[in-house]
Amino acid sequence: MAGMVDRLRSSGKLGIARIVLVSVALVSLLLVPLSGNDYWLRILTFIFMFAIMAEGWNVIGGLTGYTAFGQVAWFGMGAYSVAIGMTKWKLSFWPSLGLACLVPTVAAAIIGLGILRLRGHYFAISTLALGIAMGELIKNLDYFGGASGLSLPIGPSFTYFYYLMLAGMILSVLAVWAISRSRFGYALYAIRENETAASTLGINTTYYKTTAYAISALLTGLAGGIYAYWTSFIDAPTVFSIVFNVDMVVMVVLGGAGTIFGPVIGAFILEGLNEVLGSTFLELHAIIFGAVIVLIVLFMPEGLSGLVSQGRFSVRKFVSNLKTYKV
Amino acid sequence: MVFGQQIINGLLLGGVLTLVALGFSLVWGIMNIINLAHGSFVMLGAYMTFWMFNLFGIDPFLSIPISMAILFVIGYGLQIGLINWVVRAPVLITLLLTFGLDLVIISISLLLWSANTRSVNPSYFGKSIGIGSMVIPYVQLAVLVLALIITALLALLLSRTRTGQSIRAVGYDYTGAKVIGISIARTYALTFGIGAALAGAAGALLVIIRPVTPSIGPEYTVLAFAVCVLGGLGNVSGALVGGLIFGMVEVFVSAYIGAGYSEAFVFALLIVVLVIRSQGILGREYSSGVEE
Amino acid sequence: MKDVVLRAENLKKTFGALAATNDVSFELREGEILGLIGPTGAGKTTLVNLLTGVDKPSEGRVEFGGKDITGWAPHRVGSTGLSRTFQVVKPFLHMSVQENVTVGALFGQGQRKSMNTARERADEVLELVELAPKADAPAASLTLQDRKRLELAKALAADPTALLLDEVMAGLHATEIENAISLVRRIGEGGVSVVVIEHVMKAIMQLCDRIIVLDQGAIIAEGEPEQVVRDPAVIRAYLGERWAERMEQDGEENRSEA
Repeated sequence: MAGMVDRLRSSGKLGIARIVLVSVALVSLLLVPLSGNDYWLRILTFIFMFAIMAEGWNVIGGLTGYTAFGQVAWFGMGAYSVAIGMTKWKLSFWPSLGLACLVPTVAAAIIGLGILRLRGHYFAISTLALGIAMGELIKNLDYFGGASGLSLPIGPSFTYFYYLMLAGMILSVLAVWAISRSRFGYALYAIRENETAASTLGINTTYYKTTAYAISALLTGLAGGIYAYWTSFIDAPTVFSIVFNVDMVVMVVLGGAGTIFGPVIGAFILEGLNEVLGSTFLELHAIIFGAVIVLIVLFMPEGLSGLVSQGRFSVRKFVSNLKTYKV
Repeated sequence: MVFGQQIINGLLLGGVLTLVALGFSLVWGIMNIINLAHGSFVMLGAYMTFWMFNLFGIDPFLSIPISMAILFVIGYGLQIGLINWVVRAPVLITLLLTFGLDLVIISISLLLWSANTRSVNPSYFGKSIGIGSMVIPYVQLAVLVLALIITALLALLLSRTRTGQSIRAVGYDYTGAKVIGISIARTYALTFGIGAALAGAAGALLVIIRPVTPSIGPEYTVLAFAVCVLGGLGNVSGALVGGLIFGMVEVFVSAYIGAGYSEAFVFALLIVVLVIRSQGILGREYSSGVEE
Repeated sequence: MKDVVLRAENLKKTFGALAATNDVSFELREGEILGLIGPTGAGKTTLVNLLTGVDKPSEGRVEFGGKDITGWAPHRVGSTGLSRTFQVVKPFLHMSVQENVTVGALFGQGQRKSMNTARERADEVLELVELAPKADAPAASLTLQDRKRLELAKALAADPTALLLDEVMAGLHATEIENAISLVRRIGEGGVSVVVIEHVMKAIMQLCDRIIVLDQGAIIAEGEPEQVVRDPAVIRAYLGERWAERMEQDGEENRSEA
């Protein structure tokens, strides 16, 4: 993860070129629904959803350095909050979406106080177990529809959800941008770099990392909440899927952990690839996707920006990356 | 007596869980790698036994050494070909790599063998010993005994053989082992191969007592982790203690709370154990609070 | 007499049966530079850990600025004005030098809420420790000497009332040590009370108003530098029994000759 902050700094400075690039991208994304192509609308909506989750992971994994592997717990919680709110409590969508943000945030703050004492493998696997346990629990509770899932009221048009997810993605990018240049963000970097040193400098590490975890849960829950209403049917195996879990992590690694736009770029590449693979090689899809993860990890453990050497893209970096961690 | 029967069932399951955890613990302890594909190695072992029985009529117990040998080769190859390349990378990288592997293994298995539930049922499977009102099926008893034998064999391998000693040397002091001329890459491959072979044996025994599908892997990976955490990492007896405890927990939760809850319960227990232990009840080894 | 800034009372820390710190009491006065010396393994770093909340004492009290801070979490200690450096330096490797120091300015006793004022403070401190030219370099690119300076700068940026320096000169060569000595002196002159833990006796002798000697977890001598280094107990702790006897004999011979 070397050079994380160097990259963060460079991407934090909003140069003219960057502003132009982002504006052009944003305007074209705003115009896509005019084409009336539902297929592309659907794919892009998925990409935005993963981008939100990836930015959420970026807050705890990229900025704070805690490799959470169970973010689906928050995604699922968000999805079920909307589903339960709309079907059982007869709330309208917006208050339900509020719940989808609130419930995971509170849960992550409470659970985080415990599991954020763990580091490395121990933290990674307990979050993984958390995601699985949450899914198993929901699957067994009749109130949540049990194994057969829950059907929600049919929502508005595809375009509506497209803009909603897009807004969510913009919100999550802005959140990471704001954090990265704030006092709060500096506390997170210090925790990531050396927690003991951070605490002796006066940083209340428990408070800051728990808050970071809660924010990541909020963003992830938001994505889950919109997803539930969009697909109008959810069940535990889907919204607590381990694959979702790791997807968002790989996206961040690919795009560059700790950067502002990296997770979004990672989401576009990986989810785009996923869609292409899924429609072209239905059967082989997961195999190729697994292989892609392996290749990314082997050849670009520091993401795309790790391939850039002295400001220029360098093929040679592939090879030198490969040798970095070899025994 | 139902309670006594549950204890017996817990012990029988615990034996297999020990074996599931053993290879995982070895790989983790020696190389500091959490192998997220470990559970899928168990699954592969189970399917090999299943196919050898169904296609060639090989007795499930006799197929164990064959499953182990094949898994050893797969494990050795994966370590040499892939994992050795990233073995010193940050935690996240090895986790992602083994997750990618896991995904590939599961999806190939689904493609080849479908998602159908599989189990083996030789003719002698129904027989059992009765002690009072309690019933111990012969097959399950044999599974437990075999699990214990393989566990003991691993302990012997690690303590009494040259290979075992070099494996422990590498795990204990990487640089020191390198200096005295042990090939790290080869020793790592051996370790991973043995870990996979143990998973293969566990799978073979598992399919004898429980039906399997290609997607059981992740669940057993997390179980293996839980067993290691509870029993302590890197020693054989720890895996045994942890395995038996989780065997009991799973059986009792299924019996008294509901079968569907056992997984959720086991994982919740795992998290609680981790968090409590990290605070120092049994030492602070799991949270490197202050490195100095 | 000046006010007491930091006071340890009967501090004790046991790891199992081993007493790493045994009944240590001392005071650091306002504006003072206090030396803490002792052979390797004497428990100097453990003592610093106990004072700053990184380890919890088994017994005893720590008082800072009139407040009982025994058992406080490290971050509370750090933001109350008692800062420290680590013997094994802990730079934030992937952050720039200026960012490293900014963290100290944001969260220490100064508690600067705005990024701009924190950066200004960081620049001041970098100027003081002579790292200003490297402000934008990643911390990972620094040499050992610069990393030691960075460690100091991070602690200084927190505007501490008292500063505990755990071997900031170890591993430096002669000219670097000279620089470090004058730097610590400047810090003291700036009004910060300092505890200097050091093996480099030259630095201790030049800098300190007073010295405490620690051996096997306990204080064996205390006083002015010149007087402490002639203390037989201190010589024994450093050089062993035989040397101490010989020195004592030499001393007696000298006296009888005189």
